[in-house]
Amino acid sequence: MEMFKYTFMQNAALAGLMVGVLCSVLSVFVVLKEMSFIGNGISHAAFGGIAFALLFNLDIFWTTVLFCILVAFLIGITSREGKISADSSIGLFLTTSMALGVIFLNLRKEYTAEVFGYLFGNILAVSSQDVLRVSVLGGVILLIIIIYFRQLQFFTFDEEVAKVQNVPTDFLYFLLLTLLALTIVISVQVVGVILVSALLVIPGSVALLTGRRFLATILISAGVGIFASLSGLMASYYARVSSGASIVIILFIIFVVVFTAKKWREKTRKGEN
Amino acid sequence: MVEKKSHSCAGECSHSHPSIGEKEVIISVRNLSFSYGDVDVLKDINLDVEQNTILAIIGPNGGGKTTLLKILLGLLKGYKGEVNIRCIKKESHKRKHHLCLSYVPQKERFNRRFPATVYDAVEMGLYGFTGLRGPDREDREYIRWVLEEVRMWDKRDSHVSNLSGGQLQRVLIARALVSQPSVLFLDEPLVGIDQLGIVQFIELLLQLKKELGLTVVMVSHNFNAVSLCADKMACLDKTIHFHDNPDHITQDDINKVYSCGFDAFRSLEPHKHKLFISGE
Repeated sequence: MEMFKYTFMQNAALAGLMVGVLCSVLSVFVVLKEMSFIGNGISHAAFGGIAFALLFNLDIFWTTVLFCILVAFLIGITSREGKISADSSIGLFLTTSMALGVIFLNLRKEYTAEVFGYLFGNILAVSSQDVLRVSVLGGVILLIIIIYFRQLQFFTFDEEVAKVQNVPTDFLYFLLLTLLALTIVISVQVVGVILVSALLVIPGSVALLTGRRFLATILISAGVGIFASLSGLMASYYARVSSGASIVIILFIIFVVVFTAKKWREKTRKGEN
Repeated sequence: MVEKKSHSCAGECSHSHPSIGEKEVIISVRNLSFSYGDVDVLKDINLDVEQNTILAIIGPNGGGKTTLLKILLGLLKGYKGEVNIRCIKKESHKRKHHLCLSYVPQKERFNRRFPATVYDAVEMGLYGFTGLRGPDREDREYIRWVLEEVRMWDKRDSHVSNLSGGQLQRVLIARALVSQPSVLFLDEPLVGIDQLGIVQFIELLLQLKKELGLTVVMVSHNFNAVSLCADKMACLDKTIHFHDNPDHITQDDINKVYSCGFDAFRSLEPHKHKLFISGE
């Protein structure tokens, strides 16, 4: 295809592929465990991290990783202790990190247009070095999920019973938060701070409409994520619109189609009986 | 107040234990109190559970039944008093995996949207041991045995969302049993189950008690049904009102516990009280 003549498009496609897989695999856990607001909170924390790194001239990626993991753990600890509800805790940290981000950018005297790319995703910004980092880190995340797959499954299915039955649920919770934070930072370059939560919700929701078993659901979700990322990149290349927005719109269309098809099938099945 | 946590019971457990009469005491609770802020939920609870008995904890809603269960299971911390659980490794535990406690939660909070078949759901009960590797042949044979025991083997490929209340209950029991527990805890097992289901449930419980030497602690507000199978009953309304053989429970006792606005019994005809109270 013509678009892949360019190195930046090859990079974008590879990064998009990885982001598609990572987000959609985690998406199944996020949807079942009702953690989508945590995903939202962490992704907004990324904005604070990016602004902080820009202000002090630090490495954007790793600064944001630390920022996101910190916020993820703060949300996790406060809401798990039961002192404040999860959505209040997320609302608190989400807005605070956004506010911090804005103040950091105000303090920075230089031109801050590149921040726009982080808010909405900018495929042009993905370098070969980024692709390498995304691939290595993504590989590690997937490996950890494979290693803990069974226990994560039980944890997601029924946390209380899993805890009684010897599963290290607290460890798994914070492991999931860490993986979520890493995935979000990886994804921010491609889809942006504001839209990454769509990638953490829609593929899992689509897969749960169709999957009968856990592994199958995750594979369906990954398929949906890969398809949406790659076709979103193509759409953005040819129509000259934002990559993140294109991916989200394609995901939404897939959801609507699958949802309608399922309802229609249920209806005709009932009619037959 | 000193808080003592003695959930010292994973895998192989201590062999020194107090005993009452012939049977070993598996769970002993001393002066247990728990409160949420200023609200006392449990006050000065003393309780002994002997091996291979069925204890039913009944009481009104809000009487602290589920809280007590969660403390016994180690899910709730911050209580005052002492909880000692000592599981004895029994002859019948031929398998390598053996868990002290296992838990059947209220099926109402079960996530039926979860993509799993009956078999998958039961297999998960082993993941606390098999952890990262997954079940081997022996494990799979045991899963089959347990599913046959609860009469759900034929339904093993059904999706969990397609089960009736009673069937789901049996799946949750099977999931708890695959870890070969010494004590099985059940939280409101009879809610949303029809008469036939209740009879089947009671039969299953008595069968498991006999075949596996299981100790059962269940929490329920269905006095009638649990009195048919319980060896001991404890009535809980912040404090334990009595802890005795169901045959010895009198109408007065029931009135005492349920004086705080519980009306399930009022709908029953008077002669039925007698029937159920006298046990089998």
